Amino acid sequence: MNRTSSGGGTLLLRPPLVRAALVLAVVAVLEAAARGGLVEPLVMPPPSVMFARLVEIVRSGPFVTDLVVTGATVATAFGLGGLVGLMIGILFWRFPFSGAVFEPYLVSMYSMPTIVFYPILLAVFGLGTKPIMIIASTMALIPVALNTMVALRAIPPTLPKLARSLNCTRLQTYRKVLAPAAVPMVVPGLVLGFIYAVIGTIAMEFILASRGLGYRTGFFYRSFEIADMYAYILVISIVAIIVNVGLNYFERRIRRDMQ
Amino acid sequence: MQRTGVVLDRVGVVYTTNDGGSLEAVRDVSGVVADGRFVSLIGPSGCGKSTLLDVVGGLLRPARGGVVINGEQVSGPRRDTAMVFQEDSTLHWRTVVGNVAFGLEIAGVGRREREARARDVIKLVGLAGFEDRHPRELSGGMKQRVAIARALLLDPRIMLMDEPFGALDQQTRMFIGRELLRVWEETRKSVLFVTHDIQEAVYLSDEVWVMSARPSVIKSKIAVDLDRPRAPGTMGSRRFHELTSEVWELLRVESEKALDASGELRTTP
Amino acid sequence: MSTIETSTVTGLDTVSYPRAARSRRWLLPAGRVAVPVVALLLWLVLAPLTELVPAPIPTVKEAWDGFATGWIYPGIQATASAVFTGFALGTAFAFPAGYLLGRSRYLNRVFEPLITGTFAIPRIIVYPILLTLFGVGFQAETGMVAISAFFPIVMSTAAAVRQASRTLLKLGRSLNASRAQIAMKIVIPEVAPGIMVGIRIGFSISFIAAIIAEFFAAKEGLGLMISRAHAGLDLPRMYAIVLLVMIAAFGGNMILWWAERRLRRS
Repeated sequence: MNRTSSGGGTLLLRPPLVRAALVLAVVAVLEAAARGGLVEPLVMPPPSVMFARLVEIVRSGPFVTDLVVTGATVATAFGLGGLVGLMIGILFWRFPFSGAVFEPYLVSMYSMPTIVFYPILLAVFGLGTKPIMIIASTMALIPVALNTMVALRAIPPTLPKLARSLNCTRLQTYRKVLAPAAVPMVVPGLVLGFIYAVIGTIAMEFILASRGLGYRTGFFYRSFEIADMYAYILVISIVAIIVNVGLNYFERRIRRDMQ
Repeated sequence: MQRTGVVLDRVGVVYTTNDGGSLEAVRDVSGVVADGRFVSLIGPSGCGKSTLLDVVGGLLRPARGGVVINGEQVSGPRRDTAMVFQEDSTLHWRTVVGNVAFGLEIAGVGRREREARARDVIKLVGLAGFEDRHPRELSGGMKQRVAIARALLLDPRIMLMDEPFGALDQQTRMFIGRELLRVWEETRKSVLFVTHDIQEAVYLSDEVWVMSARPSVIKSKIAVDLDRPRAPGTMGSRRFHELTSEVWELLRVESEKALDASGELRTTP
Repeated sequence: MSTIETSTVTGLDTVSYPRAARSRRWLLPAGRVAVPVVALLLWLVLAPLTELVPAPIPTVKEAWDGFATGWIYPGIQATASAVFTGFALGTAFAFPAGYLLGRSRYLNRVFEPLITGTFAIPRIIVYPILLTLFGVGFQAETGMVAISAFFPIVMSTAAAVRQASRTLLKLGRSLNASRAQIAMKIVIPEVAPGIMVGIRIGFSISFIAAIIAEFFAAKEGLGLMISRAHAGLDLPRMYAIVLLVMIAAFGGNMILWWAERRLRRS
């Protein structure tokens, strides 16, 4: 009836508190279920055991190696995919007809299980990080290309006109007018591309690597080290959340500075 | 207390702002819309006209005072009030008939009955022949007629109209205003009509309530003693000009206050 | 959140090139059809140069045989049943949840950070948990599909519902409409195209999740068949299945996209 409510009433019902309480409650229920014998330790160890393993794992040497391998693959995949994506986006904008022809195929790549190409990549590049990197970079490429194209198309026509009236050179027009105008929309594409590079890399490692965070999770499942498997799932989740939160923060800052 | 009509009894509305403060939108408004009367609410922008309409419609609970319709205290949306909004409120996936019948559908009236009745009202508002069109095929003025027809079909005691022609261009606005009067002459509903157009208010109404800047009170209630039915010539009459100037004088002072409060007039440092 | 919405919702919707369309209407469709044709020609020309890739003709013949002799049906059936069951299961949870998040500012403020915060977690890493719970097979794969479909559908549905017109919601309240009436007769029809976006993305992701899960551990399915053909160096069969999977993914997406456009037009 009233639209006067605002902060959500009492202090205890503040969203962040409720959220934290919900997460803690789920952990507590899992802990009780595991300790009370409701869930067999072979299916799920108590969360406290997972966390204990997690702390040990994070301090261990193999974890650092895995993290570095995964991080390097993500970085290369993003670098490659981002660069190609930017180029495709710019091309599709400069040559609208090619954009119109290829855009449905580019968008459809979202819905393609690109993993089916791995046997081909495996045959060409051999077992290693290269096939993973290539699949991850194709995933990273799509949002970058699409956002770049949309960003450039959204530039109001008065801006290029302004540049011409000021006798800007081609390079000046690109660097001082078009690029800054497009950045607020290109950055979200890059952020999404990075996230896809993370998802693609870990998912591919999970299936076909011999190193890396994703691989280790599958490895512990296959060797029935369930506590370690859960610990690794937690580690990956935490790393992914940190990456995501950091990127969101970065994106918000860029957008604020640019607009 | 009066048994029929709509009685506003010392209504006051206070909003809680997002930072936890409070904002008094309406201070103290009392008045009676007698059965079958056409009353306009006019005031500077942001003065709480629409807020007041929401209170009468039962969408907003006032902080003080209350509204009594036909002897009953308003505590929520009622069957005997119907609202028409400024913004397009047609359902774009339904035909004109489906839109007009929507209120009765929500109230649980069977399909055949509500559609038959909808077709009658559609003729009344001058949309005959458009029954099976979709809103995207209609002009802005026609969409507002659909909204008026939907309200009329509920057979309310009072129609609450929140700047229904505010988004239309001037010519359409004059024309649809005349049409509204024609329909009103036939149905004789009570109307509480929010507008910021002085000529529209005087032309349509029996009474014009001029509201002050926020927190609003009613500054003056002007009885419009122009003959009914009103004709296009009404607008050229001397009495019409006297009335509009009277409203404008009252409104000018309040608008300046409102603009001053918002900083709009402080052009010089 | 906003980044994800804009980037997933744009794309296909932005295809409108009035200039090209007006002057030579046939050029654009012709160009689009030319893409797979050229790809096929390239394949035809390049295949003899390497032993890693079989020629298109044996590949297509193998695919044809798959249907003629029936060796492909168990794979299609396993993958399709996991995809459809998992997708239906995920939607059954995600749609109401997304609707509630879109309608309630409070619920949104509680749960939105949980959903967007976990966006970067590759869902496939929870597959081992499902495998330890259910064992290798239909249940674990279906669960994986449901989890994968859940998140994009929740996010798109909530975003779509949040776009519902305030005027129409006010109309609903003024008519004393019940919550169910507001949902069924106002909000859902109004934002149907936006909801459809979530369905389309959710379905695509369901398919991808099933194939990836089958690569890791499954008893049946197209993903498993690809890795078996790969292990057995049966290249025509491997490429035949890859081809079918790509066509299925592309076709499914196009059908849902077409449905979305139809909803948008009405």
